[in-house]
Amino acid sequence: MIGRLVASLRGLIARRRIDGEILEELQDHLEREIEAYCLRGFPPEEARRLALRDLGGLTQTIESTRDVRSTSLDTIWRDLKYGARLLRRSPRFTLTALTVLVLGIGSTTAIFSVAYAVLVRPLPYVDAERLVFLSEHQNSGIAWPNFDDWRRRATLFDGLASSLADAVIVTSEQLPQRLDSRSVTSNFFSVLAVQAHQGRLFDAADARPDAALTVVVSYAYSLREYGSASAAIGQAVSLNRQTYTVIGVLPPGFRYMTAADGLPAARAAGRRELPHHAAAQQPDQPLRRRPVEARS
Amino acid sequence: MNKTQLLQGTLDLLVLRILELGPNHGWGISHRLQQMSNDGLKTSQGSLYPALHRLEMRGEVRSEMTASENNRRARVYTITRAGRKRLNQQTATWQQFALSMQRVLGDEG
Repeated sequence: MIGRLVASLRGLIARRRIDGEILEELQDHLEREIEAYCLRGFPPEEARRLALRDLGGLTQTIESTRDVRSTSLDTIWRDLKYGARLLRRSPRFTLTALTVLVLGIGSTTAIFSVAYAVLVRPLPYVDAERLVFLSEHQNSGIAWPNFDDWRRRATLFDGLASSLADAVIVTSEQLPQRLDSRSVTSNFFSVLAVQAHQGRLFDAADARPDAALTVVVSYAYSLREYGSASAAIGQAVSLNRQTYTVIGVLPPGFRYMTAADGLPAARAAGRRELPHHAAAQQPDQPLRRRPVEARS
Repeated sequence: MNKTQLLQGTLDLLVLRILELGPNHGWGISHRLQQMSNDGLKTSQGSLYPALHRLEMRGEVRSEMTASENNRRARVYTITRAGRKRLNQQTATWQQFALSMQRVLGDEG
């Protein structure tokens, strides 16, 4: 196989040399033939004539021999050149074909990028394969009382956490801002095995109804609003007209239900597994409003 | 001098068989073919040389330009292992075929 490839390459590169070699080979043949006729007693002139007659069409022999040598690669090259000529001759067809190709490849790539981000790329959590996503019905939330029952009775899981996506209005800045946020149960981050980048994340005390209002912000938000993660700790921030204290900053790159590149990633959440949205946030339930992923 | 036209596809086999006896150049091969067949078979240069080069492309023979007597250069062909393998297979096939032809046509043929 490799020998054949080398031979075709050699045939392609050194066609002229090979033509010469074939000619030399046939020349040699002719001379031997003449000698053979001489040995049989023919006079030299006659021997030469007979040998030439036997040899037949010299050019044709050279050509068909060279064709054998130059088949594979040479043929491909010829086909390519022929194809290119045809394409040049019908520019409208070429343009159409190219457009179709470009759109096809482009859309395939785009779709794959989304599918990769949503379905393939591993979730950014420790032991992500152990996380499961719970819901009462397909893609539905869980009513809080049900979640509460599950949490108390379930023995299969190390922990059950719940969260509810909700936007908050931040009024402590000069201009009010709307931020994406998420109300989470106090064990939410420990179920995800996320450590605070600065400060601390929630513990059970934060979830008590009489506890001070606390909030955890994303790393990006802390940089944007306070200049550094450490500067964010202890800051008061007004969310929906209630004053919260920033107790912690999430690690850079933390994401939940959102892809870092801003793609809606609701489906990725389907693989992950947290009991999803506690559907109703009742006044006496241990859910508190805390923006965990601040995006402007 | 009623020389039988070679049947399609038999030349490769004959060439391999002759090269199995020892390395040879093109003229030697065609000469040997006539000899061995008692002048019953003859090949033209127009088909012998393409066949030799085709066999070389397939890796069943290899060739070398060698200096020969009288300060001439000749291309000498040698059978390879792949060539021997093909020769054995084809010989068996061919003998089977010839035998079957013989049976159908009858001994008087």
